[in-house]
Amino acid sequence: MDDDLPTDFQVIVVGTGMVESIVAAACSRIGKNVLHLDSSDHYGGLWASYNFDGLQKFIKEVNSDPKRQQQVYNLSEKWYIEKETPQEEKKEEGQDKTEDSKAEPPKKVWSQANFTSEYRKFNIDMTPKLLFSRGPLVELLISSNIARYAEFRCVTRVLTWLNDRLMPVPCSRADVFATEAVSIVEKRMLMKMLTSIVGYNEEEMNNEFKDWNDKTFKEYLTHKGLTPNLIHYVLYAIAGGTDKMPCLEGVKECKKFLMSLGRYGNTPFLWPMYGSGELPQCFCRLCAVFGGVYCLNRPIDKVETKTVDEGKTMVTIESKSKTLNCDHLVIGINECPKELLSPEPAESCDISKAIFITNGTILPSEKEPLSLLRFPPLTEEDNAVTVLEVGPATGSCPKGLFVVYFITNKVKDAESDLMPYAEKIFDMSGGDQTVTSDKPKCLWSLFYNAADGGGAGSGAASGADGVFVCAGPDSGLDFDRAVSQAEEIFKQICPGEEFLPRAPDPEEIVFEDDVTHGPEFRREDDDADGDAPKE
Amino acid sequence: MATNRSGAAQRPNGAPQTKVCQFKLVLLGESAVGKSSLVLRFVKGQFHEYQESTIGAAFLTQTVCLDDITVKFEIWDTAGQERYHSLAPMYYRGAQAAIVVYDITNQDTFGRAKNWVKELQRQASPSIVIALAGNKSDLAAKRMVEFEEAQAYADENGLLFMETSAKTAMNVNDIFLAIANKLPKSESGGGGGGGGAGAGARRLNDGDAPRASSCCK
Repeated sequence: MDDDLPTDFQVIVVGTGMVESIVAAACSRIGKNVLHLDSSDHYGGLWASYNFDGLQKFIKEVNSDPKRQQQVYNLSEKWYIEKETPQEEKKEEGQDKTEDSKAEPPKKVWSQANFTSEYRKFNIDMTPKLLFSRGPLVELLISSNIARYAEFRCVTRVLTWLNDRLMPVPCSRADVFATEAVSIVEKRMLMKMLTSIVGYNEEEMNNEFKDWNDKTFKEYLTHKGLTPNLIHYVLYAIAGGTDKMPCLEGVKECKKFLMSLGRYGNTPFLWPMYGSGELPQCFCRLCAVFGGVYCLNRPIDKVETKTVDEGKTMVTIESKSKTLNCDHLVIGINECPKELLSPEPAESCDISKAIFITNGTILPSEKEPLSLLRFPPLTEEDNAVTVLEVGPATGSCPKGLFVVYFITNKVKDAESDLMPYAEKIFDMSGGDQTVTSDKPKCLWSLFYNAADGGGAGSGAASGADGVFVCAGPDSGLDFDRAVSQAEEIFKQICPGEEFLPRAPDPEEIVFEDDVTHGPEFRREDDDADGDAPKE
Repeated sequence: MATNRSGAAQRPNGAPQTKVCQFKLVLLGESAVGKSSLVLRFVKGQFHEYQESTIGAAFLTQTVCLDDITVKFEIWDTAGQERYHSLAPMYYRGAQAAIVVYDITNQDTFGRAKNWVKELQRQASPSIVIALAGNKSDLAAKRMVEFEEAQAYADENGLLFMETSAKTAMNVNDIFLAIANKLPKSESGGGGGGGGAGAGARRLNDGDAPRASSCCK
């Protein structure tokens, strides 16, 4: 089918993960001739989102192929509901119970069969990430004009676990003053501290905190006279830290949080409609619009680099018994042949993740919530746990369900690391779904571990000249690291060129015959009227 | 960070205006059937016999005025990603209308068009309005797909159908107009299923206070 694929490109990108896709877009945008491949039949690689059927396939594939367990491993899927709904009896019972008491319809009893039949309504992320409203990815999406390809929802609330229950965190000025959880004195104290943190520039910050270099953020907050409750909010929920968090890091995290407030919605965070896995696709589209050629289902077998005249390197790739040539190869770590990876194993702390599908939100609210919950560590050895709860309005799941993501740095394995936290907010018993309890019922879960692409030794590593290996997902909340790595790689491939300059709006495009479109406007597309030849 | 809300307030709001509804329309069909040409004809009134597709065709907007309402189409071209069957799911997201194009002089492209319709039924919002366009009707002498055959297929599948010519402009405006008429103009279309972001989802833009609704800006 794809045998008419052209063979010579300036840049070939293999893998459609976030970093690879940004590099592909950036290269194509400035006029490089780009081929973008992926070995699988979908976009996103390690950053993909799946519908329920796709997810089942993914789990099966990874569990049956040790080679794929380099990046993702320990996958353990569990159901807490019946295979089929025993329909007749259950439904009638449900109706009997509720006919007098409440106007509310009886809670739907979900079965595995329901998930299977509604599989398309799920968009489940393997690498769920939020965007800070003024974080580098939002800025890049806007400045490059790629933002028009995606839609977002605001995270509606930030929660924390305090005194053994879920508590909303007051994060804007209005919230701080509206909340009843803190006294007036505390409010003043908190506002004063937050205001000063936002006010510092880099230099002032280093100055102010020079004596705190070897101390923790918690010590600083205590020194500032904050009460235990306030310390909890600032340290765990706003800075997303732990007791060990260094002072300057805490201050920087706080500043980042506060700076992103007030741009969109009540919290500093955005969540992409249909999940994080949409975002690489947006960059791929821009790449295609500027002439990038796309081919999924195209695994590569072999990569060779050879030096041609004057020390210039050419990279050749074997793929489906076809030889492809390029000046630069950008390859995702999950697509990369072993011999191209730097031999020293990257010393990094892996990530423990879990996905839960539940029949209700962890903390009921008037409108469908979209929540970020930051758990402080429950024990000394644990790390902080980040929880994201997304509902049907985000396109993540059918009505009546929520998808909840857990992320922490790995200590033992995903299940041992995260189960204690899940049990705090979910009913994991698998019992009768119609019984209303204070916790939502967990209907399905998946635990897994993932390599941390943010770890040491996985920068813009290249095993050979002209080859750039893109790291997998890191444990960070936002895409900062992916954006900076992509920019680094781009600058090496295209020194001196602008990184993703703004793409023109439709109104700005001129079609007159006598207008030269310039190299960046040219497309190798035979999609014009007339019998354009196929390459 | 003070939030600047004046962006929204500056819009003239008081005067009686016709309602403007924005819809995402995606183009599908094999390479070289004339997808981009149809859009160029519709949006710019132009046709270039041998023009290579340009970046512009990948994202254009055009409005259609109905009696009491202005329909603004946000038109997405495949940008060539269909060539090796690598269209991204995000292409279909929230699309409220689609035009599936084939070339009346090429039977193969009609067969492929049927596959695209299936793909839409699988991937897109269940409420999507689909139009089938048999393009290059100016080349009737070389016709390989009979009008009746395509019409019957369209009827069976509930599709709008017209034969069009980007070259002569025949039925080009008409097909967009027919789609505009068929689109639900209540609140943000789509909804549920695989598409239709609905209220509350937002595009990002420079402004500090972007408006929330994707419809009726």
